[in-house]
Amino acid sequence: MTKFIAKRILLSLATLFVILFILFLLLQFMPGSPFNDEKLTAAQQAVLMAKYGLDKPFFIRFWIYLQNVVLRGDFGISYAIKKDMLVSGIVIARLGTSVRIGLQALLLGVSLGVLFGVISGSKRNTWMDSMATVAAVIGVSIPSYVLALVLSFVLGYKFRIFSITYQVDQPLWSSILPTIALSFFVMAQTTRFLRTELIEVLASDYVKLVDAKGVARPKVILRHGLRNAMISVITILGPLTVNLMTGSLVVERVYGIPGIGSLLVEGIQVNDYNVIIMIAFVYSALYIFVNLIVDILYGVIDPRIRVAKGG
Amino acid sequence: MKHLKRLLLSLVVLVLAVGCAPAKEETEQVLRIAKDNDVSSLDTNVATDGLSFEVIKTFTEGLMEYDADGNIVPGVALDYEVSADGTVYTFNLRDDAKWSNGDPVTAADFVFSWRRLVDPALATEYSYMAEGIMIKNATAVIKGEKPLTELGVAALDATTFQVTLDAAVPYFIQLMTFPVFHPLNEAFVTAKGDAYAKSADALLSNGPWVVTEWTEGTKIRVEKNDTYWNADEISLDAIEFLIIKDYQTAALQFENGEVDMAKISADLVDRYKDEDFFETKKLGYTWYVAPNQLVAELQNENLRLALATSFDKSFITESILHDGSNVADYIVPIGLATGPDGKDFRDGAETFLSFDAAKALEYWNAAKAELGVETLTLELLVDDAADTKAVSEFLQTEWQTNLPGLTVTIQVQPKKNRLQLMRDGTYQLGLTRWGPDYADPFTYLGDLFQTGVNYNYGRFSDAEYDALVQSTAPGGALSTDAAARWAALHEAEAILLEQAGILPTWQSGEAMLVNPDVSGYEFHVVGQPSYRNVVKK
Repeated sequence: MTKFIAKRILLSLATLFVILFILFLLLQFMPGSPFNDEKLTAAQQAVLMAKYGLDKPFFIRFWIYLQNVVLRGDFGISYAIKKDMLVSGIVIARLGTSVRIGLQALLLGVSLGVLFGVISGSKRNTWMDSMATVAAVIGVSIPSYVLALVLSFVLGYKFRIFSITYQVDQPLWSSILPTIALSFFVMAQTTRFLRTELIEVLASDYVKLVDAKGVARPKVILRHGLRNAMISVITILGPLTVNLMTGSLVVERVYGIPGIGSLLVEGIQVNDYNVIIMIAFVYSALYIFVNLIVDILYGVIDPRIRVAKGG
Repeated sequence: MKHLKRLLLSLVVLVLAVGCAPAKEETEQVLRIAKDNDVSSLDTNVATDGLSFEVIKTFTEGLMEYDADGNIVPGVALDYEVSADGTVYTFNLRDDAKWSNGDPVTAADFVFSWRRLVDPALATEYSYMAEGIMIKNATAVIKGEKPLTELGVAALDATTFQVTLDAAVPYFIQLMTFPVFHPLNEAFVTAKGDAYAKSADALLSNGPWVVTEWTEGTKIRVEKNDTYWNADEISLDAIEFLIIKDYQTAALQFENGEVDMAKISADLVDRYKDEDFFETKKLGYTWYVAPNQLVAELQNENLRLALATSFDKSFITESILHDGSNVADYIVPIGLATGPDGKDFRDGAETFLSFDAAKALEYWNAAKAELGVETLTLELLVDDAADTKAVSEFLQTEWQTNLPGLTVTIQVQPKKNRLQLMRDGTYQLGLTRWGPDYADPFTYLGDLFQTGVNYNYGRFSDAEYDALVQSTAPGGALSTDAAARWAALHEAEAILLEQAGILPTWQSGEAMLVNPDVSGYEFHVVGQPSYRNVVKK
């Protein structure tokens, strides 16, 4: 297992290097420059490009950038959004909020999803099953930003239970609405997958055997059914995390959350290269990390699946 | 099932434990303003965007300031003298102006700030303004050809600041209200080094308020500065700039009483336009279509005239934008500049290129005959913003309907790319705008449409126009004869528009929700809004 994890980590690092290179390369092809303001003359633009070293050849710039990233964790400075400030400082100040709300949504979504999945999978074709299925269909079809707007209108504006915008001094309370908005899709997907898988598992021979032995039904479902069915949930954790990241771009805007999603959008609009690179890099790293965890979890939950030989 | 119940129970407990939102209690006067963008820098010399300047204005003060009616009144300066040829300004500073650390504000603080503005090592974007007002040696210093000490500024003594210009600049004094020319405390800036102006505690104030909180992507709070010389006249205890990018959210926050002022987008105007807290104001931006005269067909005057007069501008302002924008049959906007006669430049001035479908058709037929074509396809380049996209679709429809045989395609680009394409001259028709930096028609007529200037995207060129505008430029033949200069500027505008050198479209407005308990908010068409006289009941 240790060997397997070590190998995966090495592979992840190599992937991140390639990602950094591709990001750097892609931004070369982005039209315009960060200093493309109405009022700057061509001479001034040239001075600014030189000041930030943007006039040097591509590979030299990449080499310098790579060294700064690896040795100092320095992703360069912002050209437009926060002039001359370190991008790492800006991103780190916002990363915590984004990741926390994302994790809250994942936790809430998966918990509710497992609950509904177990209910509808084990009480198949009852009213509870129908309810859970309907909720799942709605959750999959409504985009998170629509839900975000509805929630802030009803709970924030009409009934004034929650704050409409995210408040830095009340980080938990004011993050409840965005958490719910983001978790809905996670909940729906988890419910759907778990239900299907649970029905299949509960119909299998080994569960019938346990049943025949006279083990209590709840125990059968949780111990034998759920544990096996959870594999399917873990499989979709990776894609769900990606969905949370992209969903957060809009949800952050609606609730005024100072997160990295909204920062990325802004960075792209104003050609703030280093901001774009660092956030895209962080997103990639998060995604790779989640996938690594998922692979490890496979092994923990189901010893039959061990990716590496002898792991 | 026991596990499930426990899980459910713990979730309920978690939600309850987070608790109810504590109620806010308020005794001090705090103005809360929702902003749709964030500040990019609070460094006086480095900042470039509107919000940054607006915030900087709350905690710094320049030589001169605007009063409620838009007149220029003394700030840190008590008064000033101008030499007979208009090239040397000597400012006498008040001796009771202080920095928030107790230091006096001196002439040396202005010298330091102005030199820093043109320092090639800092390479500030707004250094061009020092060139624009023709400070002696500014251009050479910016290029690194002369040392900073050669810049035409001097501290004659602690309270006497002198500026030497290369030529008389008619709008010099009003630019002294502009934040990039505000003073900086050298000892403080030097001590902070690279960290200067990058956090709330790395800033010093000589204005009505001082920055006490700057939270990334969330808010900036300024609180009353007791060391400010005129602190007794300031009524607001604090101002909070809250970054809320979504207009819908900002409007809901306004309705909940969480913010006092919020800008809203066109789609929200219908919901609020009859409320007593709904306000619109005119901005100094004129939007226009620049026809690129590098494109052979667009060199045809009749074609440009046909394009300019064939769309109903009032539909754009009333049905698409409806935010207080108005039809622009001119280029120098209403409210931009007051002339020597004390009247606005537009007051009683001629208008041009009004919508007239019948006349447009005549121009179009003439153009087709001259060009020897029956059909023509043109491409319109626009920003990817919601309002400009909507306007471009309307223009497309109007042009294709009123000028039969014309096909217009639309190319949507992010603003920075759009600017690049227009600058390179690789476009046909481009919808663009200009934000004035100073209250003088020259910011439009001189900076935009002379032959060969940087922002003359459409490559408009007319010898008579160039000569007239040159005579009104700093150091030009008319630079000290205000009345004749004004007449020349009117004439230049006529030359530009009578041949449809550009196609004026609308003058921007802005729709806002403003708490009726707030009074004394001063908005200026050029320059930053002022909160000095704001009172919140």
